[in-house]
Amino acid sequence: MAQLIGTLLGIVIALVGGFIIYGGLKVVMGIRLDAEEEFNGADLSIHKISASPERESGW
Amino acid sequence: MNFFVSAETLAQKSGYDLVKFFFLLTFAAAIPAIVSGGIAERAKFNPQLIATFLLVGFVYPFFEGITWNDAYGFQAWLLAEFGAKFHDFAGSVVVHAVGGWVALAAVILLGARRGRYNKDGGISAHPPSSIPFLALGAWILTVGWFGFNVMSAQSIEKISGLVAVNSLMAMVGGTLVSLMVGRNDPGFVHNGPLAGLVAVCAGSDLMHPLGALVTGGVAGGLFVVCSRSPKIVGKLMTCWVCGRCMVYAGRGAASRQAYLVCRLWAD
Repeated sequence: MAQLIGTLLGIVIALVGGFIIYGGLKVVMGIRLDAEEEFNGADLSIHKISASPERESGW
Repeated sequence: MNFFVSAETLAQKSGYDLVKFFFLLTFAAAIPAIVSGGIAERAKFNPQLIATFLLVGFVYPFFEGITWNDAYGFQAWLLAEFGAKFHDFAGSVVVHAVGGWVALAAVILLGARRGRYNKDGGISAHPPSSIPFLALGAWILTVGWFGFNVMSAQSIEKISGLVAVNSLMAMVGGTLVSLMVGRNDPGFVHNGPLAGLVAVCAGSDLMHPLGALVTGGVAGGLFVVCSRSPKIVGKLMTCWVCGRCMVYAGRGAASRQAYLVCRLWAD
């Protein structure tokens, strides 16, 4: 029982903390890339270089 | 731990306090690492930096302090009420489940990757960009896990070979079951050992190695089933990498049950 309660407490703290932090950031500055950036991939759109040169060969 | 003293003072007892600080810091670092896996390829970079600061600085230490440092009297209350403290030897819940559930919150707020779900509701998996890198990363993590789990005892006198063997057995269980249930899918095979290791963290100082094998196996199986089935995980499973989320969150919970069963057995 102590194990169950401890686990639940951990889950609650994590979920609440996660929602507060990411929810706050979402409101303040947005947390998601726009569609084009996501389509190109974070490596190209943020870092301007492909993380995997071999992927051009077609996955 | 007070850093505003001279370096000499910090270095007392061979710097043991610093070692402990460093060790727990690396635990804390696992939280954003877990979350970032869940939100990859669609989250902005700078907000994640801020989130990392807040998670590592506040959310994680709050629960870790409650569990491992007896903060706020929670453990004392459990002991008085139920005759046992919340036992988490190497962080199944304190580290991995917390990371997983934070990731879940982040993933719900972010939404799925574009193209993740078909119009008919089926899942279309994004292929991993590199299976060799996936394997390399997974097994580096696996190797490191042994040092981490064993030294979770935090002092030379308390370390036990049982932890090493239990970690190994859970890793084997996770690998084998995910290999079979996942039908040789390398994405599952290389994550299976991690599922097993996450699951065994909490009870690795108490379980029998055979129990650890079963624990790891259950974790590996659950991981594959949860990652595959849109019905079980439904809208919560919003992305491929959220498999991570499942590895961690699910495993934390599973390990607690396994631990309870083992404990009942032992009693």
